Amino acid sequence: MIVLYSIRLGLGWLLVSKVFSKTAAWMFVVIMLLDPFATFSGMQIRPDNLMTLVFTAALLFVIAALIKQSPWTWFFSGFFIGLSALISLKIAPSVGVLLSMLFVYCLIKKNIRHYGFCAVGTVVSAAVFCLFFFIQGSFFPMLQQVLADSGAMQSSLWNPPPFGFFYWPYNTVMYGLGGKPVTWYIAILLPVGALTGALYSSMRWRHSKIKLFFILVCIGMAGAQYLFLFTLRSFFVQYYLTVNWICALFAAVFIDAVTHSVKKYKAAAMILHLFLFFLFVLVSYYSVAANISRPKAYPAAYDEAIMRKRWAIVPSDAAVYPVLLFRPLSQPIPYGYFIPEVPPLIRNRYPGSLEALSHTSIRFLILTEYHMRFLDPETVSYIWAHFTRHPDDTDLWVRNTE
Amino acid sequence: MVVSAVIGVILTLSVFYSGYQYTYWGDEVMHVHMVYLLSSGYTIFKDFFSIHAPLFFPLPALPWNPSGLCGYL
Repeated sequence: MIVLYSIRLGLGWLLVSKVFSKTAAWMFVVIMLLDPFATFSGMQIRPDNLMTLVFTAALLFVIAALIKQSPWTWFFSGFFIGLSALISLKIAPSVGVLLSMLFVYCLIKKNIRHYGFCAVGTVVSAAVFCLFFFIQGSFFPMLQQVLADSGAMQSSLWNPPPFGFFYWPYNTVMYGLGGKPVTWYIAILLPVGALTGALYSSMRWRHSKIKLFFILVCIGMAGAQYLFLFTLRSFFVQYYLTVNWICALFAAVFIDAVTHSVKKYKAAAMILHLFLFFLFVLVSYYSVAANISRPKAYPAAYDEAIMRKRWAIVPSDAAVYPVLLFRPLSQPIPYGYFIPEVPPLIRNRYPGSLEALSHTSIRFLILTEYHMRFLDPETVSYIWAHFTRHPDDTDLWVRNTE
Repeated sequence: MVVSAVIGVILTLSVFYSGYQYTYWGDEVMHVHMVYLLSSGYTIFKDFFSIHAPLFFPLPALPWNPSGLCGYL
């Protein structure tokens, strides 16, 4: 995932340098590296990170298509735009804005034929995807689970925090350092800098067609993504991956534009450069400290020790109820979901707890006291009658030999 | 410029260090488990529940089970 993130930063640099300047591109990379949200979730094992990479590639193709006007660049723009939405639907608002604005652009330019290539690219990516899963037989379950059940899961979240609590300070897991560290100020100030940059750049480059189009697209995409986020009952830090790169872009373009505008006033330019250098050193110092201490903020070693103990007891081919990481399934809801939190609409589609447990092939259970409270009395009686707590791990139950 | 570049390299390395060391976040483990299931021959959506679109998971699963295309076929 670090490789994917590096490629994404590289493609981002290329995109910004193509549209604006190399200085703005370097600023963009630095701001991305300083952004605590991107550092936190940008290298995690999640579809969002492949999606943002593919979407950045799509934007590069869009810029190439606008400059070269070749059918293949238009086709690949559409293909990668479609592909990014197929990897993760979180980018769908940006995809909608981008495709709509490209359509309007081509309409104004009286070049609707090129938009046709782009549309074909999008349709091809979607058609290949749908055909593959249709042949495989999982197309309709996929539609149900990805489109309908994801909404139901959102609605069923217990105690969803507003904005995911991610803008709250005193969060060492997110910001790496306690209190209100520099990394927290970066997270707070980035959208403000981006707004200033968006307004400034849209005025400065109002006569440059491609730049202005790109700026308007980015403003539209950021607006659509934020609107989408506010419609959700709760959202998590990875949801910001779709907007924070736009914030970094506009902040970078703004800083570049300000340094460029004072170039002719030598004294002012020197003072500004010194100030920016001092700021860069300061925020980098605290960001590096935060990046080094962030991994220690979550007690992973404790979880890992428990996991290793359980893997030593449970054979690699033994199914565990409800589920154990790296062990076969005893029921279809995989590791990471807390089954009582899964809405009944989804849960009732699958065998109930008693039905799942009745299979004698299930020899192990991992149930905390808290989880036991959500089980029905029959299941609890069955567990007490057929399973015994492991002496070394009270949450691990082993089937009695009969 | 040289000082800025050196600071930039240190900052980049610290970002990668943070990404490499910070591995235990709820969703990540869920995704890793889905990769394990695909590489063990399970079929996403049919054999196990997922609200995530399926295109990402074969990528990390492929090195484990390239012949079976990670339970996709």
